Amino acid sequence: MALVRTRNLTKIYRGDGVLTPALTGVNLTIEAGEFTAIAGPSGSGKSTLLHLLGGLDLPTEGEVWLEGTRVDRLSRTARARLRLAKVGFVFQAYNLIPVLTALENAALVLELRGVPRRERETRARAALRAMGIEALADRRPNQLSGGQQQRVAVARALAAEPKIVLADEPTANLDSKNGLALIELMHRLNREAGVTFLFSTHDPRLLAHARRVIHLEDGRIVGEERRE
Amino acid sequence: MILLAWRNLWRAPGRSLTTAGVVALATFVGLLTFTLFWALLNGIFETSTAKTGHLVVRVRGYAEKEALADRLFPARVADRVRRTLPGAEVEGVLGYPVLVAGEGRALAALLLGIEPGKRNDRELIKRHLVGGAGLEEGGAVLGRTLARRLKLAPGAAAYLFAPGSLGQGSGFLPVTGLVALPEARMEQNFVATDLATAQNLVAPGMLERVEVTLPGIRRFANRKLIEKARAVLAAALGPDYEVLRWDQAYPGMATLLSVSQRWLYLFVGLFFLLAGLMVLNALYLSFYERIRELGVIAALGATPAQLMRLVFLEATLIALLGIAVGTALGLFTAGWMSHGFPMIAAEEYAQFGIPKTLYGELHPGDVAATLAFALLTTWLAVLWPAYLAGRLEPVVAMRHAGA
Ligand SMILES: Nc1ncnc2c1ncn2[C@@H]1O[C@H](COP(=O)(O)OP(=O)(O)O)[C@@H](O)[C@H]1O
Ligand SMILES: [Mg+2]
Repeated sequence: MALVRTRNLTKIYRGDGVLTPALTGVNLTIEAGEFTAIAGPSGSGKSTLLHLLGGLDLPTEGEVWLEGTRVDRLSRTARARLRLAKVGFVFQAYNLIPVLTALENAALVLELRGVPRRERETRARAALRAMGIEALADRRPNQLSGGQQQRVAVARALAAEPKIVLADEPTANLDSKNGLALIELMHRLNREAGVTFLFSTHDPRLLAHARRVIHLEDGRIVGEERRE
Repeated sequence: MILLAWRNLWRAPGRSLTTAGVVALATFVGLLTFTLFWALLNGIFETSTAKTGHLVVRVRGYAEKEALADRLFPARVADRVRRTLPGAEVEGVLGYPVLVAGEGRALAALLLGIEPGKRNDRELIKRHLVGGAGLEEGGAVLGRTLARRLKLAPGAAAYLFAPGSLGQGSGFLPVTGLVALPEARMEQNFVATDLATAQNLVAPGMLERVEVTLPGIRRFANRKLIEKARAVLAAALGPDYEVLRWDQAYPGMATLLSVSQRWLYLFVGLFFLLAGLMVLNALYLSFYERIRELGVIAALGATPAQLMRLVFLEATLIALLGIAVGTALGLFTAGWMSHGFPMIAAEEYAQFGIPKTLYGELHPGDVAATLAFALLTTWLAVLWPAYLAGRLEPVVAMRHAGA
């Protein structure tokens, strides 16, 4: 069974009487263990697709399946529970909680799950170690560089051991050196720990790392490459 | 979650402290208002019972008796009262309508036969004496206005006539004192003499009422003790007499007190409403600033219930902090005021029967009401942001510019 599957996925935003089609008839399957990039220019619908896959938003039409569950049919609370249990998110703007330390940020998802303090700290620390920033565990986000913050954000997603990590342009706010380093780290976690990653980018240099690239344009899949 | 809520409080410590301060102030003022209210009530209670005593014994159906003589009863009833309530100050009083004549003019007045040295002497005459020596055997003390109208100065003789009298009926009494009384009407028809002289004039060996002052009663809250004594006395005296508490004998005062209590609750309620709006404003601001952040937490998988709990928890922490500080301050101040404190502008208030020193008081019910008010208003104030937090769409919230 595929980890993620969509059928005829369509999203039309409507606001102030204007209809903006963001995704049109997307059919997509992601298997466990993939390291896949969604490539496309700005406005092509990458964020919209990731939001729909993660149950953050609802499609106008079509279906989203995650491990045999029809996500777009779930209530708001049920979608939240599903995200909490199975999906890790990394955002372009890091989105760490400023009042919490790196360790506490990394442990946040586990805390929402109700994992006891000792256990979630151990797991969050391990995730920070995997991202090579264990030494910064007690710093607040404003004491960290952009690259460090984004590593904390990835650690936050990893600590909860999700079925899939959805990363929406995780390197867009980083310089190319830090961006490349982050993607390499993610790739290693994919190879060594088997974490499934789906990330979007419009930086061609990062695409070289992906084993599968899905090209998006004007809300449609226009091509796909696989390499080993 | 608690950790996050706690940290958020310190994100804008100034605003959190201001919010907690508003709650603390509301709690403090609530407690202070209750304390002050009881202090005033105690003051009014003290001065009015100093004048009236705590209990009054009269003939049953006093008000309906047509013949004045039917309102009178033998003086030995006072002895029975003394035996029934040992330790109480018991004073027989003979009140009776008379005509007082001075220089070429006669006016109606109310003769009061009172016992020298007893409460009525101390509280009515010595306290308000503005001329002459005061109550003396065989002499008359007149209200200042009455004396002026009759052109009677201390030393002059007043002629008293008691219609329907069982005694002498009339006689000359030298004026031995003038009193200025708080109530003008009372000053116009006030004439007092010692009990024996009054009895000679009106009805030998008879009283019109017995006034009882119970020992150790200084506070309004003691009125249950007064009622207990009233019941005991009424049972001992039998059906021919009626025993009234001071608030029954003078219902105007009791009404005033119960009306002011209602105003008090209204005032405290309005104050909390105002404080609640200020708290709502502060809480909404700190919610608005963090919409984006709450959106992130929602995206990570927090359920609407969890988000609401987070926002709710934060406000409750602020409220509890404020309530704790306000209660501590309020209780401390109430404790200080319970030992007696000087009334502000005591001279001006004296005419309303408020003494110079007041004794504050705080009842557990008042504290409970204040705390309930405080918690309720903060919780109401937090419901709105909490409701909004529960309805956040993560995608929309994360795009929110925030502050
Ligand atoms: N909330 C929204 N309301 C209206 N239009 C939107 C909204 N979000 C995205 N869009 C539009 O949908 C299209 C796809 O956007 P998006 O998924 O953000 O693309 P990308 O992430 O590839 O830049 C764009 O035309 C964008 O303007
Ligand atoms: Mg985007």
